[in-house]
Amino acid sequence: MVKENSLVRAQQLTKIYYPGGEPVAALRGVSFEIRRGEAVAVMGASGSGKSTLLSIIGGLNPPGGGKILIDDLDLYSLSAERRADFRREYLGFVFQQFQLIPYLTALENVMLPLTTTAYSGRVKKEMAEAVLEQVGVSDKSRRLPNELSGGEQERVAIARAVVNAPPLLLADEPTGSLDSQTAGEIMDLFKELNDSGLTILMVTHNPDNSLYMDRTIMMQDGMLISGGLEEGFPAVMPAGSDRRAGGQ
Amino acid sequence: MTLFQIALNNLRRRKKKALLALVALTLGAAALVAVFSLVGEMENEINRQLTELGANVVITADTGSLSFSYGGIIIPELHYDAEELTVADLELLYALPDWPAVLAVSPKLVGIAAVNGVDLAIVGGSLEAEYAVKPWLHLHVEEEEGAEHEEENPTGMRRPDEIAPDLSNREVVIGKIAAERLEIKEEELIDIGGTEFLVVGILSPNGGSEDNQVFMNYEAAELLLGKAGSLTVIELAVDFSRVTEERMLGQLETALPQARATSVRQAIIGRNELVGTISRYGFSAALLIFFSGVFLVGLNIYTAVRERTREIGIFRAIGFRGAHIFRIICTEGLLLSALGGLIGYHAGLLAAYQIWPLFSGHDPVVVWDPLLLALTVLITAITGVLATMLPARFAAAIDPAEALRFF
Repeated sequence: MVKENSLVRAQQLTKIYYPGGEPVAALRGVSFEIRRGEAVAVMGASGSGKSTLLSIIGGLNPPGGGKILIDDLDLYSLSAERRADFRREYLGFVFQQFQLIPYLTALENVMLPLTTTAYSGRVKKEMAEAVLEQVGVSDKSRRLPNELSGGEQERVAIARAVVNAPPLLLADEPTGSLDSQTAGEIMDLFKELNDSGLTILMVTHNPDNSLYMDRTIMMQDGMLISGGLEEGFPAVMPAGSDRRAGGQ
Repeated sequence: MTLFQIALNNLRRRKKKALLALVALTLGAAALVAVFSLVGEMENEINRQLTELGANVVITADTGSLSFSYGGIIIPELHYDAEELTVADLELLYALPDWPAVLAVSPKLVGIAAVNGVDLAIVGGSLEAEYAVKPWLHLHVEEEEGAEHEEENPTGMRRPDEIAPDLSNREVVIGKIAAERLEIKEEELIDIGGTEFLVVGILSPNGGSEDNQVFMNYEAAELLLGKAGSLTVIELAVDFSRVTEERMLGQLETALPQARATSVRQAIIGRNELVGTISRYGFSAALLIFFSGVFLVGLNIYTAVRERTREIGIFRAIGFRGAHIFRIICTEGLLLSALGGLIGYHAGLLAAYQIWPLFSGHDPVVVWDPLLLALTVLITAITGVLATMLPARFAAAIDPAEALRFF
């Protein structure tokens, strides 16, 4: 698999939150690049800014500064509604703890991202069934989430994320709720998807997961400390910056 | 999978809460439909009475203090023993400028006499004239054993072919209740004030004063009551399309200054105003219940939205626009309120059917009206959706990153 051509380019991303009125910098000038077809892990301690970075790349959380380019499109130049369309067409999400809709069957959960597309009901169903087959839970398609094991729910969540064949899959601690054996199986599945050409960005605490990835970006205190450096993109802000945005 | 299915599935998931909102809206819609149906039925009842009242002007001596029930409408202060009206007064009436607008006239002498030892009202006049001003009067026909059942007469009105019996000076027609009280049957003799009379007919019961009266011709009543030439009441059937009510009453007062002319139409107008007042209060209460139901639906949806923040965040993250979320929530409100309207219409109709006997002795003519059903569903659906729009906007504006706790 040839892994070249930039799919994601983060340029000097910053984000400041104000918990209790006090400014706290979650991201401080983070820049990196992900090539098409790459599998990248983002690791770091809690509060290092991993999830904020994921939400910004996912078009859910506008950065305070900087740009995120996906396929050279400045994501936050789009309106909120257009960003929703973009997420539907370009991105797949695998959330922590599966986040399946409890009152929909596995098949219906997988069909969700197709709900607002122009496909006919029959085509939507065929697409969902095909991807459930691909992730190995086609025999559980009529079951509700609470009738599935953790590993099966994770597979359904992955199926939902890839049913619309997005170029980029974003995963937030996808194995956090699973035992090590099931986690390994899920990571094998991610590897298979990556081998088939899907670009993956995975936030994880588990170093074992990073072994399945092509590259690992390490973050600390809102800064990228390794793994993201590309020519022309500084990984960290200039020396002297502080975690508190206003605290220099 | 469609937005509609998502909304429907969500309602199914939270059945109890959805049912609560549904009951509230159903009650509201039912209250509105019940009041609407009852008021409509009251108006129908008044129109029915107006139609049945051949006599619409009653002239009495202006001295009485006894109420006179007339077709279910109380005309105050009729004195049964007054003597100020006389047969000669009829000539003054015939001379009225607008007398041609009077379709029928029934002068009567009313008094009390012992009938088989029981005091009863005696009415002396022409039964033919009485038939002319009271279209509902007709003789009761006993069914013979083995005879076919009489065809039902739902209006309770007299058949066109029934002619009033021409009473001789020794013949009477008696009201049904009076006959039962006296245990008298047709073709039997009764003693009235020491004179024997033959009962030639028994009037069908109509709920009016006639049920308790003994009707005889004027001459017989004159002799019996000892009031030669006197009249107690004169009833007129006036065509008010040819003369105004005020004009006719004015002419009557001028011609008979010692008498009081009362228009039954005025009594009906008064009763109409009462119905108007009842309907205003009824509709106000029903609207209060209805909007409470609508408010509960809005509150229910708002609570559901708050509980589903994370779920809505997932929808937004996987590509649902805010407008899609808005539509899902509004669809939930629409489903609940339209169903509430549908059930509420039928519940209201049933309630009106059950409540109506408290207002009237007649069976209700509450009918299933597809137009009213459609209107009820439409109104509840629109108001339900309007009540849902605020929580739907709130849902559409949920920040997915915050909902999914990305920070």
